[in-house]
Amino acid sequence: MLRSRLHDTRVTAPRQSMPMTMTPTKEFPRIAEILRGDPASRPPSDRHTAAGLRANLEDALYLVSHGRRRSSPLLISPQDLRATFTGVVRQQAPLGRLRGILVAEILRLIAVGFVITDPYLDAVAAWMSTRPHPESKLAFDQLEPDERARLATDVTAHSVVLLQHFGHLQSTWNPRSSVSIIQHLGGGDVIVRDRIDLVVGSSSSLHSSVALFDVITGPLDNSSEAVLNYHALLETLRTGVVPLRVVALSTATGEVLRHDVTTSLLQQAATLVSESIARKWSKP
Amino acid sequence: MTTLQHRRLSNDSLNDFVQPLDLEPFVFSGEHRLRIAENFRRIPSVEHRRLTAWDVEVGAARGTAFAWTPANARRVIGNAGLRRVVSDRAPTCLIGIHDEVDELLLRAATGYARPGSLPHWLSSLHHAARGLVIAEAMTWASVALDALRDIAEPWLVPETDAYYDVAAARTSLRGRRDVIVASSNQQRIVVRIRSGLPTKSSGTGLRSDLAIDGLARPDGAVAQRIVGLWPDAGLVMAVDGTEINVRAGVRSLVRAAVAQQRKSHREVA
Repeated sequence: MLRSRLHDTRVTAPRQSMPMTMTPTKEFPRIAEILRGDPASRPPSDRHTAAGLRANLEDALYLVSHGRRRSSPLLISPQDLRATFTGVVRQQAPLGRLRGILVAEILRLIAVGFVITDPYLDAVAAWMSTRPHPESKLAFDQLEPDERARLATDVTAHSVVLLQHFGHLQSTWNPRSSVSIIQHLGGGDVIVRDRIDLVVGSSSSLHSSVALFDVITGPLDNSSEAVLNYHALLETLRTGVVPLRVVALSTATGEVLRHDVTTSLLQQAATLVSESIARKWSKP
Repeated sequence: MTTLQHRRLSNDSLNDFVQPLDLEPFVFSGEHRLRIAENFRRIPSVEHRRLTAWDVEVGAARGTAFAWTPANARRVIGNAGLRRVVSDRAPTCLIGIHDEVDELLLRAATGYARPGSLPHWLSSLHHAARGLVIAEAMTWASVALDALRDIAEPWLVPETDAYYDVAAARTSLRGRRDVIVASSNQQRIVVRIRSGLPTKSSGTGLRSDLAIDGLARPDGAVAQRIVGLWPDAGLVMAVDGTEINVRAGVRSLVRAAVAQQRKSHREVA
């Protein structure tokens, strides 16, 4: 009787369990450390590549336009680059979009040393103060209670991963968050837009020190890499100085993608932008 | 003919633009001020009129009423943080911005802030929203500092924008200025930092700011040049303080007042 009761309540039979050794997980690579890198190994600032890249883009645009002007400018954004890999411009589900927006707000807060007490509530309060886009605001307001609970859980989980990986950012690195970049090509016929989640370092220093960081709430894929390269290209065109490195963190998987910016990486991004322009130019 | 110079933003291009010029700046005389006041008086207004370069750039298409957001508070707080760094009162922009926010909150807590003011709005915010205000201000100040760091001439962040009250015309003019590069009192160059992309009317806006900056000074001396910085686009534009540019700036302000008046008439009708 006793034997059968034990079998009912225990998963492992008596005397079958063995002592277990638990090893703590490896220390996460800290984003702040990756962004900074080893200051002694930074290359000198490259102030020459930007002009060549712009010329390449203008040449590629001319091959498409043959000098014809557009009545309204063609807009190129990171979504167009993603379409190169997926074949279509993917519209994110409202819940996924809201999660991305709120996690980006958390990044902005921790970049300036703000102590997060409740990730979801803090992110929502910060986002609401910005007078959000009416479409996103409506999507948020129309969430059912269970969807809202799911969003809160999602945002909290992703924020925990972000907080674990981020580390401490020195204020002397001048963190700039949600940095907008807009570039004209072809005399304003093409407007290339971008928004980088976080930029640190200075473009006026003698050695390359600018690092760009993106937080991604989905898994990393080829398109994430392409978007990182796109960030590097636009930052180069904007400041005339090649940034040091680009880094992305997936808060879904904890993976970190890191690339030191090279001329070939920028050329790849310029080729993708040219292809996106060519694809969109021909569409009515 | 009015002039507008246009270059890509780099340390060299900005340094070139802020070098002292061999140019005798235009000076507003008492007679000029009287004529400007007469022009504004001819445009009747029921309410007190406030004009900025933005009104000149958008004409009568100005949108909804002003309300504070982290994005439009960033310039005031970011510049204040930058001023603390430049004057060695704060070691970094972030510390300067935190100090400034603390001071604004103290002003609100001690009852020195009127409803609708920046301190009053800040004090009403959730602490995370206040964190976002700091993040926005930090971005503004860092971008400005990155662009201005290598300027060879001495520069400062002014305490306030330039304000000029047009006599008996119920009109106030506000000229935005973010940085003043001054090697001497006569050799003064005003720098404005703007978001987004410059438009076709950005040159007109710069001329208006240049004119208001001169009018706001008791001696009426216009800056040698005004430089507009668009860090998002990586572009710099400059307008010299010549008589033609200054006159064009004043004319644009008068036209903006006319456009506002017509718009309010249409709304009433």
